[in-house]
Amino acid sequence: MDFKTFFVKRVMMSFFVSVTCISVAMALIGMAFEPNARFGYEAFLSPVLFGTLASLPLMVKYSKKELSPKQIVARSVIHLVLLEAVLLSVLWFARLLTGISMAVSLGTSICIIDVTVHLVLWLQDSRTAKEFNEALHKLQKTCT
Amino acid sequence: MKVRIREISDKTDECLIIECVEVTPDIESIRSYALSKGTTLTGSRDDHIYQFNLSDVLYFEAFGEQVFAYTKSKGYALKFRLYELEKAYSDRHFIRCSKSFVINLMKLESISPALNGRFTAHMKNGEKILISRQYVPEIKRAVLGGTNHGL
Repeated sequence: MDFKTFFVKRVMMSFFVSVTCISVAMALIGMAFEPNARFGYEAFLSPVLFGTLASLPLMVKYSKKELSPKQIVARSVIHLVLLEAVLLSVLWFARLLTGISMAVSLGTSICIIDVTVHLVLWLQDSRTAKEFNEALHKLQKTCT
Repeated sequence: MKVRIREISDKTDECLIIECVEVTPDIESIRSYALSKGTTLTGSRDDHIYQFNLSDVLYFEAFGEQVFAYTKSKGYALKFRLYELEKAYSDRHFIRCSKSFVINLMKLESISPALNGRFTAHMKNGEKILISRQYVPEIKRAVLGGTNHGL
């Protein structure tokens, strides 16, 4: 996959999904915990900013050559570490993190979400592989 | 279905005729199998030229400028490009699974998920070949038929 395709397909897709999810999460959490709070127009920029920050670490997954499973695992771990580092540092410098316990719980949440996404994708692929193998054996039986 | 075998004297006149009401996927499979059984390839190994059956080939691999055909225990260098083999034998259950590999579905034991939307092809001789993400839909279509199955 060339860089342009990777950027459009993976990074941009991740950006738009992140922006949508952050906007929905902000709206739901805000309505639940601070329904009377009011923001200026600059509030519209925060999903875009965090969407960008969450999508940029994806660049470590880019490779012109086909990666081996070990390389993919290694890059996924680097991606998670970078994602945690970028998001937590920005929140820290913006003084949105009030303490270590909040940073730890947020970091843990990001890690759990990332692992869950990989697990769901793995389970989905396992189901596909099972269907495929059943159909393959049927096909091979027909031919022999 | 009735099966009739008529013996003839000349090998060059050997042919298989299927009379059916409709060409179903099962009929297509029988056709592919018959075609691959009757086809031989010529390849070189250790400065010798060998002939082998297409149906014995597990996969074709492009390595640098050279293309190799692998049977259960032997590898042969061929004078074809990988895309030529893919095109020539696509109706005989040979399908591209990555930039460098064309595998024989009849010699595929199973697939298992690899990471990143890719799969690993476990061949009947125990070898493992990576199925690239971009070729997964085509391979699924070849085996599962026209349905999407989670694509």
